[in-house]
Amino acid sequence: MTDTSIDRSAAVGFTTSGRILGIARRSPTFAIGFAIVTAFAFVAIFADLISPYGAIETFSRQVLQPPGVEFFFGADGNGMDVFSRVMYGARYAFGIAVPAATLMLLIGVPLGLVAGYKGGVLDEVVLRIMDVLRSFPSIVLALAVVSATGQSLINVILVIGFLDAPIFARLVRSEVLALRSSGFIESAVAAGNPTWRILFVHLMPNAIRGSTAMIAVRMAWAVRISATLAFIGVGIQAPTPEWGAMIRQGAEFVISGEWWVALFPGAALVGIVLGFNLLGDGLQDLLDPRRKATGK
Amino acid sequence: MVEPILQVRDLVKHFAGNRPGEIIHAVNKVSFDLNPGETLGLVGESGSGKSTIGRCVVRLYRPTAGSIRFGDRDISTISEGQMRPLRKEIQIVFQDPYSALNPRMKVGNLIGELVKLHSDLDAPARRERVTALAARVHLNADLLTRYPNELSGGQLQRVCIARALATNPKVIVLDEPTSSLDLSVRAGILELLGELQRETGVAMLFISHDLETVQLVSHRILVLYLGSVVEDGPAEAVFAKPAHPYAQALLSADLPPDPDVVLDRQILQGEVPGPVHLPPGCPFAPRCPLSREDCTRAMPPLASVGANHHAACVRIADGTNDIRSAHASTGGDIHKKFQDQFVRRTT
Amino acid sequence: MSLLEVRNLHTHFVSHDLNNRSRIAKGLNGVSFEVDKGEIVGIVGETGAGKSLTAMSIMGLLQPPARIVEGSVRFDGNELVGLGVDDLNRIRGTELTMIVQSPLTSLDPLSRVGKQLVRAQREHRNMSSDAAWRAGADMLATVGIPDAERRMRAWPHELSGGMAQRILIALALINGPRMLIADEPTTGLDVTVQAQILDLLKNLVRDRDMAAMIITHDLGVVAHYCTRMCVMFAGSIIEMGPVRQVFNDPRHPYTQALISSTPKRIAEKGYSQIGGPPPNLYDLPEGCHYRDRCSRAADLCRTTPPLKNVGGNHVAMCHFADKEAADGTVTSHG
Repeated sequence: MTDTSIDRSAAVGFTTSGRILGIARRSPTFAIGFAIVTAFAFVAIFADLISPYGAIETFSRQVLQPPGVEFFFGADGNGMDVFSRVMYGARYAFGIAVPAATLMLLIGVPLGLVAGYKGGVLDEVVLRIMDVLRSFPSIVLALAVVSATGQSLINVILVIGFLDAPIFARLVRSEVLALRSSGFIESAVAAGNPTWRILFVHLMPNAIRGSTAMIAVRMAWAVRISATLAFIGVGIQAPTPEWGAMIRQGAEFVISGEWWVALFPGAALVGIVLGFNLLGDGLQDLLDPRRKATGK
Repeated sequence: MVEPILQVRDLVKHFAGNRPGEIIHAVNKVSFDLNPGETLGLVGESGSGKSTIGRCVVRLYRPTAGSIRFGDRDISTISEGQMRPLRKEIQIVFQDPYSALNPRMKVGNLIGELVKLHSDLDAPARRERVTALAARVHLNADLLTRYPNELSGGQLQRVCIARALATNPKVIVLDEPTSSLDLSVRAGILELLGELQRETGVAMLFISHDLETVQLVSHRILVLYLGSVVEDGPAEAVFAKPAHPYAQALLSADLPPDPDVVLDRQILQGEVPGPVHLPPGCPFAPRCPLSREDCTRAMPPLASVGANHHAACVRIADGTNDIRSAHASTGGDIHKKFQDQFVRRTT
Repeated sequence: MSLLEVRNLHTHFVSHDLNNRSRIAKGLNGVSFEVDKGEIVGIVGETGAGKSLTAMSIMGLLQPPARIVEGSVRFDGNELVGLGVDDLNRIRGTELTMIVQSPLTSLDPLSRVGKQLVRAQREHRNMSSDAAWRAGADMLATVGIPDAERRMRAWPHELSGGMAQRILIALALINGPRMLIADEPTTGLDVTVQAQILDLLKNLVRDRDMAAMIITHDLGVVAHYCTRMCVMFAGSIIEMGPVRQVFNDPRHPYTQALISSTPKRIAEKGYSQIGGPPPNLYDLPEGCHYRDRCSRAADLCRTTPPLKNVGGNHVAMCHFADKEAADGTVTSHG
C-alpha cells in the first residue's frame, strides 16, 4: 500500500515569489526558457512602444551604418534600423508559431483521441494517413505548396499545421491507449457517458498532458521553417521585417564585411528557438517527476 | 412471490489469450438470480471469474454466451447505445476509488456527472441533489470542491457510492469495495451500504475474496472456482456447513482476527491453475483431496444440500463430501498432470 | 540482549514543494522495540503508519528524501545506523534478510530463478556454481516447490504469485539468516495460498530457531502467526505486547477501535463509527498524535503520552491506558 498520507498536499495559498522560486528550483531549464520566450513575447506585443524606429522606416543616408549609439544593431542595405526590425520580427515569429501550433492541435488531438479510443479499422486508417504526412520532408513540401499557392503567411501556417499534426495525433493516441483501460474510463462508461464525453471531457484533459512540452518544441520548429522558407526566397520577403527574410538580405553583405545585417536577426532566431526548446524540456521536467512525487 | 430483478442463465465469458488460439475461460456457464433488496455475495479466489461476472452484469464486457435478464429485458446482447439509458438502473462501485475517478475533476462534479447524464435537472437543482447525495453517504459537503487526490480512501469510496446511488438504481455491483481500504475505515463503508439497502431496497452483487466481510453483508452466497459455481445458498448455511470440498477448504483457510479461535484448516496443495487449459469435468478435481474417477468425466450438476442450498459435487449423493475425511491426497495422477502447469495467470 | 534492538528511531522525509517550502514528513517518531530469536513479532497499522518504513529503516534501504535522523538499530549488538554500505552488505542478505511486498516485481525479470539463487549465495560466500545450484534446488524443495530442478530453470514471468513468494522466501533463507523481516508476505495472494505460505514461514522460522518480524495490515495473520505484536499509528508504536493480551485487552483507543472493526465483532456488537482521515505526517498534532480522532481525548492529551505498562510485557501509549476497561468505558479520573 502506498503512503498516500505523506504525498497528499492540501492546496493553501502561498506567495507568488515563493512559487516562482519553487519552480525555478525544480527546473532551471523551464525557468530560463520561460524567461526567454516571455521576453520575446513582450517585445512582440510592445514593439510599437519600445522600438526606437519604425519597422520599415528608412534612413537613406545611413545605409549600412555599423552598430552604434544611433542604431544599436546597425542599419541594413535599405537604411532601416536592424534593432527595430528585429523587434518587429518577433511578431512574425509568434504570428506563425502560435496559429500553426493551434492548427496542429485542432487537427491532431481529435484524430489521436478517436483513433486511440476506437481502435480497429479507424485507428489503422488514421495511422496510415499520419504516416504519409510524416514521410514528407516538411521543407520540401512547404516549398512546393507555397510556390504553387503564393507567398502568403496563411499558406505557411497551413502547411506547418497540417504536417506537424500527426505528431500530436500519435502522442495523444498513445496516451489514450494507456488510459483507455484505466479505472476512471471504465467508470465513465459504466456511468453512461456517451462516447463524445468520454473523449473530450475525460480523456482529453488527461491525454494532452504529455503533449504540452511538444507544443513548445513545435513552435520552435514553425519559426525555423518559416525563416528557412523566407531565407531561400519562398515565403515572406523584404521589406517585411521577418527574420528569415532579413538574414537573406544580410547574407549578401557578410562577405563585404557588414556582419550586423545578418547576425542580429540570426541571433534572435537562435534565441527564440532555444527559448522554446528549453521551455519544452523544462515542462517535461516539471510535469513528469512532479507526477511521481505527488503519487497516484 | 417476488420477481428477481436480475436473472443470469448460463453466462459464459471467454477472452482471447496472449498467444494465438489461446482462450481464457473466465466464466463458464454461471447462473443465478438476484432479488430486490437482497445482497448476493460472490466469493472466490483469483481466476474464479467473480469480477468478470460483475463486469458482464454492468455490460462493461459483452458476454460470450448466455443471458442476463434485467427485469423483462435480456441485456446480454444489446448494443452499447441501447445499454446506455439502462445504465442508470445498474451501477457499479470499483475496488480502488483513486483509479476509478477522473483525477482532474472535482468531487462535486464527479457526483454531479451522474445526475447530469440521466436527468433533466438544471444546474441549481443538480447542485442540490449532489449535496443531498453527499449527506446521504455521510460525506462532508466541504469536500465537494476538492480533487480526488485530496481525499482519503474511505472518503473517496463514499464518493463512488454516491455516484452509484445518484440515479436510484435497482442493482449495484460492488467489486471488492473495501479491499483497498484500511481496516478502520471498512466498517463505516459496510455500514453505509447496509443503511442504503434498507432505505432504498436496492439489490447488491457483492464481490469479495474476504470471507468475513462477505458473511457480514450477504443474504446469499455464490462460491466460484475457475469460472463455475461450486456452491450457492443462504450465507449462514454456506458458512456453517459448506458442502463442496473447495468451499470447505476455502472457509477453513480463513484467518479470523481472534487468537482464541482454534483453526481447523484443510490446507490445499498447489494453486489455482490458469483459466486457459481447464481440466475436464469438475474444475477443482486436480486439487481436490476427495477427487475420484467420475469427477473428471463431466461437470457435476448442482445438487441440493439444504433449503435453497446447492453444491456441485459428485460425492454429495453418497454423503462423502467432507474433506476432513481425506487421509492422503487421493487422485494422485490427476494432481500430477495439472501441477505441471505453473503458468502465470492473466487476471 | 535481544537479536534486534530498535531504539528511538526517527525517520523523516524532507522535500521541497513547488512553492519552495521545505516540508518535513515525520514518518517514524521514536520507534522502539526488540525481537529475539524464536519470536515472531507482528507489526500492524494502517497506511502511512510507518510499518514498511520501519523495515526499510532497519535494513538501511531508505532513499532520499527519506533518512534516519535519530535513533539506533542494533543487530546482534552491532549498530546498523550509519554503517557503511559494504559493512551493511555483510549483514544484509546473510544474517538479516527481508521479503518485500509484490513478489512478482521483486525478482529480476532477466534471470532465471536458479541463477538468482546462485547469485544470492555467491555474493556472500565462496562457493562453486555447482554447489550453489544444488543448495538452491534443495532450498526450493524446502519451501515446498515441487519438481525443484525444473523450477530452477524457470523465468520469473512464468511464475504464479504463490510460487514467486516461495522463491522470495527461498532467496531470503538460502544464506541461513538469523532474522527475517517479511513485509506483507501474503498480500495479493489467494486465501488458500496464504495459508500455505504462512505455515511455511512459521515452520521454517521455528526449525531454524530464527527471529521474524511480519508486517501486515491483516489482523488474522497476527492473531494466528505472531507471538507478540506492535500496533503503529502515525509513526509511533502505540501499543505492544503478547498477541493474546493485546487482542483480549486492548488499552489504546486506536487498538480498541481496530479490534472492534473486524466483521465478526461488528456482527456481535454492531457497527461503531471509527476511522477518519489518516494523520498528516507533515503536520502532526502536539502531544498525542491520535487525539484528533480519539473519542476520549482530553486536555491532558496535548502532552505526549508515556508508554504505560499495563501488565506483563504489555504497554500502551495513552494517558488513560491503565484507567480503561477493555470494553472502552472510562473510569473518570483527573
